[in-house]
Amino acid sequence: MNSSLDRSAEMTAVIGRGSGRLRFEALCLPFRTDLLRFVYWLCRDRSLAEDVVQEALLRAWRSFDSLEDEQAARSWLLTIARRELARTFERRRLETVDIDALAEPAADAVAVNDPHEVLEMRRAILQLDLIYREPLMLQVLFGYSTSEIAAQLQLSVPAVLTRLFRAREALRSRLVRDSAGKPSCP
Amino acid sequence: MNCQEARLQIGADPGSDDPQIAAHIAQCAECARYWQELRDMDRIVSAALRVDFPAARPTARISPRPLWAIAASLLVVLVGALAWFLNPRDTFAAQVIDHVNGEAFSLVRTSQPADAAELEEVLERAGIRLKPDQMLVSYAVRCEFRGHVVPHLVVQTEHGPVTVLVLANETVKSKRIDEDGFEGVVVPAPRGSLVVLGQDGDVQPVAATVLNALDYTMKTW
Repeated sequence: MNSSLDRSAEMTAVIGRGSGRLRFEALCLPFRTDLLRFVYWLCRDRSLAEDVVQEALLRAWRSFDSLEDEQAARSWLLTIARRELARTFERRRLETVDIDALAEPAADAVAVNDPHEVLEMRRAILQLDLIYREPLMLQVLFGYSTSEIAAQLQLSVPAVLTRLFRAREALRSRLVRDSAGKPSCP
Repeated sequence: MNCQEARLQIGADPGSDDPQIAAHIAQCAECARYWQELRDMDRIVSAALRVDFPAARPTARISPRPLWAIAASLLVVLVGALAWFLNPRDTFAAQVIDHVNGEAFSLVRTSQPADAAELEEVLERAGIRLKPDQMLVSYAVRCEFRGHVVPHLVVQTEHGPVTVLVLANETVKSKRIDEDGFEGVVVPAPRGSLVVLGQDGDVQPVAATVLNALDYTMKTW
């Protein structure tokens, strides 16, 4: 059994059984992959993301009664996960990450025809400042509107628009620079 | 909507179905190309963000090779960048106006203040504090400008939004700016200079208000 399954079993043990658990699982666990991606792109560490999401889901279960609008479950979970990551950063001194090592993709993570484009883009996104990476992720990955991102990040809409614009400009600049440095034949 | 406004909106949200954007790109080939380029890029961004979990699955290393597709699709950007470098319009005023045009989202009339904590952090990093109840700041971000990270504020005045760049690390000769529909001043500050730029009327009184509202006595980080 791998570590993720270990954690799932542990979580099931903590959550227990019953209709509340079934409702929680039906409503929240489908967002587990979203949460993992969200935390990964915040912290750029897969194993840390798994730990944080596991803790976040447990916290979500404990405060499940506070979720008033089931339609808002994903935003609610993202907020819990972000806070859990912040708590983790406060608790421990995290090691410096090697961007190049992180950017090696799993082949099955690639969803478009040219995996090299995706690899380069992933590397570029990893190097974006967090203040640009997070709104871009919320918009492109989760389909949030600008006003939803503003609410999630507690920013003004113009500030979000600026960050999104700058994020894309930074990605374009970086990709152009990298492409310009390549040889002209294979 | 002009090309500058269209590109800012497209750059912030290429997937927007704003009818004004649609109308603009229908009659502007350059902006239509930019729009298509960013939509193509967003498709790759989306795929890149979809990192798979769990990580226990075997991974395959992919040998590096050139990214011809990206190179081709972004060639126009390289040409644009070259053109920018060759462009002789590099005066201080032009740099200020280009920078402000790059954040045109901020130039809106509003009574909504910027987030207080964000504003405080933006200014604190330049060793500055805003005195209470002096002016309504609706926008506050840290920007790279002429090699320094500077506070970029928008202050709401009776004549509309006015941009303020706090150049605490650079002293620029005092001058007036009157270009491209912008009117502004560069004035000396307790540290460095202050750029105040508006689009509707004399901003000299605003500059005086801003100078009075900013407290430069904090230590810099």
